[in-house]
Amino acid sequence: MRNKLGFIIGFFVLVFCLAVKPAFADSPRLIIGAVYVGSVNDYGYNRSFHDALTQVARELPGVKLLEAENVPESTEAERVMEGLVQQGAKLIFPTSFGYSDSARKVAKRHRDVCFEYAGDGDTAKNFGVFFGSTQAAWYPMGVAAGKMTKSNKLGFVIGLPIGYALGNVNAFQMGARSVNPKAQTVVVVTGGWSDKAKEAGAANALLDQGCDVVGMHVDSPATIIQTVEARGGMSIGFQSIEARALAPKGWITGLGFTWAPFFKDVAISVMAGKFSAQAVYQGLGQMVAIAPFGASVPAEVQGLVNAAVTKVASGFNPFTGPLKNNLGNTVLPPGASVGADQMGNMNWYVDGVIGKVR
Amino acid sequence: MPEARMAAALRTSQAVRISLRYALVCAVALAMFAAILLAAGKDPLKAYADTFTYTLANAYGFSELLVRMTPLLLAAVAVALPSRLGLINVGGEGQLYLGAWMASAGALMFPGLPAWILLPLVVVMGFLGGAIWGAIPGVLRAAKLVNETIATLLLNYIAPLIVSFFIFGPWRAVDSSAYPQSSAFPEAARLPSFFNTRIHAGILISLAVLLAYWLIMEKTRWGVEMRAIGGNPEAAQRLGIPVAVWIVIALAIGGGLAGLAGMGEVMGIHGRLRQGLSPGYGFTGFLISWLAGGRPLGILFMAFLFAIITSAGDTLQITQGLPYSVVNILLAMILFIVLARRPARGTAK
Repeated sequence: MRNKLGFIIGFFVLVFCLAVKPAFADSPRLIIGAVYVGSVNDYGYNRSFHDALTQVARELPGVKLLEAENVPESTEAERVMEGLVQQGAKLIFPTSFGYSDSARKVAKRHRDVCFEYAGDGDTAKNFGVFFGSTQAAWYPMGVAAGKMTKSNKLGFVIGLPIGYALGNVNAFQMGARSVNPKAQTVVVVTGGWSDKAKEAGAANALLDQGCDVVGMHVDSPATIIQTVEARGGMSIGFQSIEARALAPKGWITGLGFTWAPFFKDVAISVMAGKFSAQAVYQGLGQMVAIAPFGASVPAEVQGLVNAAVTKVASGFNPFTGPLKNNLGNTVLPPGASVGADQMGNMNWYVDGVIGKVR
Repeated sequence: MPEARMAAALRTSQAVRISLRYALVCAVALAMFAAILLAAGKDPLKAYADTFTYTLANAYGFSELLVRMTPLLLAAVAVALPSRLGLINVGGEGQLYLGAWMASAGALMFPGLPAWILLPLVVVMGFLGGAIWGAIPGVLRAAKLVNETIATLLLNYIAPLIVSFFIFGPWRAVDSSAYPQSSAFPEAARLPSFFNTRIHAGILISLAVLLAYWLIMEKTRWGVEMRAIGGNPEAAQRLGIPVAVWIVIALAIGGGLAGLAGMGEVMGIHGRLRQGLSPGYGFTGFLISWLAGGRPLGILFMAFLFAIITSAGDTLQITQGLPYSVVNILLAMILFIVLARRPARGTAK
């Protein structure tokens, strides 16, 4: 017994010696820390960040990437970010909306570490916010869905009813309405960004109600696209344009994020000591890209969608009054509009959406 | 006199044996885990060294261990206390959520109260929330209607839904992009935190509860009665111990303690009510209590160990690029080794 005790003590002494020995390696010029709410293998939201940051680390010499995946939006997030700072990260990407409080607390403690938070709210000297303005980009997706649907009922699955998700649904419905006056969009909220069982259930429920085109705003589009594909429905993808591989028959088109150019600029500015915290919202052609069309989409529909893309890219904002919500009340008087920077505060569904915000 | 000395010696040698057993379990698990790390192409010594550097030998890391231990201790006593009566409380997670919910209700309904009233109020509300969630299975069991294991387990699923209902509905903050969470609690409802870390007054509550648990169980008549029920409920009943009453009380207090853990999380850490406020503290508390055999010191040790292991998950992920779930392997190994040793001990008796 005593021998064992000695062994255990010896073991810890050894560990301690190893620990205090300063670890020397050729120190990188910049360590980037990334915090993901899900797995980077989700072929969706987290994958889009992982791919972009890996690309930045590959293309910029001296940049090292530290990643933490599956970090819940709880006490854990702050701890993980603090850990990244302790590991020498000078630029941190908290990539989930629910990290807001935690990221801001860590940023306040470490003024020398720059943060780029995927969300909204106030900026600080070392705290920038960014996101892809997907809302307007959903308008052409709605055009595609409105033309492709036979039942005139479109489905939309969202994780949490935050302003950005509502904006996606609304632009989708308005796009569909623009080419199909009978189009309606049925919304199902799953209550989380990544709940495969509920996503499959939601997709099935939408199909059961007669929806034949399904769009989604959850972290990984895979479950919904596969469920819809298996039952012969059509899907509009989101988060990653690669999701089209999951639906060889029912794929119409989709949106994906292209973060790499922005991330690269940020990394260069941090290395040059010239980081300036801003609120950066970029849409189609910058942070947001459109996926190729599926084989079943006729040339006429493709033409309409591309026309809508050009319209949005040249500055058309679908969120321009007069607009009524689905309760019949005017939410935007003529001339008023909701810009990308106020999208987080949207709390209504546009006319034609079947669903309740609260 | 020699008898007492022998008993004391026996107790000491028992304590030594028990602590050696814990150490051995840890050492074997760590060695096996090292083999897995090696197989994954990682350097286990470097991994352990990193864990050590960033948790134990680092002020922030150490403070976070205490932050983690705070709810774990309470959740463990929430299981340990009813277990002395032979009751199995698997409902710590639900009781924790309901405690957080009631405490939040207090903070949101009386935002204007001064801290000296509001703080005790939210603490009591947190306890009550968990106690109600524990008392329901207690009553069902005492009335010989439903086994408490089933009832506590099933109530786990309901409590987070109640929380969700309120943060998606009536309590949803208007200021945060309609993100489903309550608005921030008034400062007066927040548990004070210490040393510019996230360590909050909840740790004092946890330690006081642990101490009280030991005192009551070992030094009072109540403890004797509860242990008597655990030993032989029928005999206890015949001796005139109100068994049914004790069952309800034990489960209610256990639930209340888990509720305090939830209160500590929302009032000490988050500052608002939100989904996913506990990463399974209630369940981990069950493991801790069970591994510690319900002994107060064992609970303290095991809570500390579990805090280190879960911290190791963060560290290994950041420094070694290992997925977080690898620490689940380590946790499972510790359980497995303990399990593997149990029958051997039983037959030796």
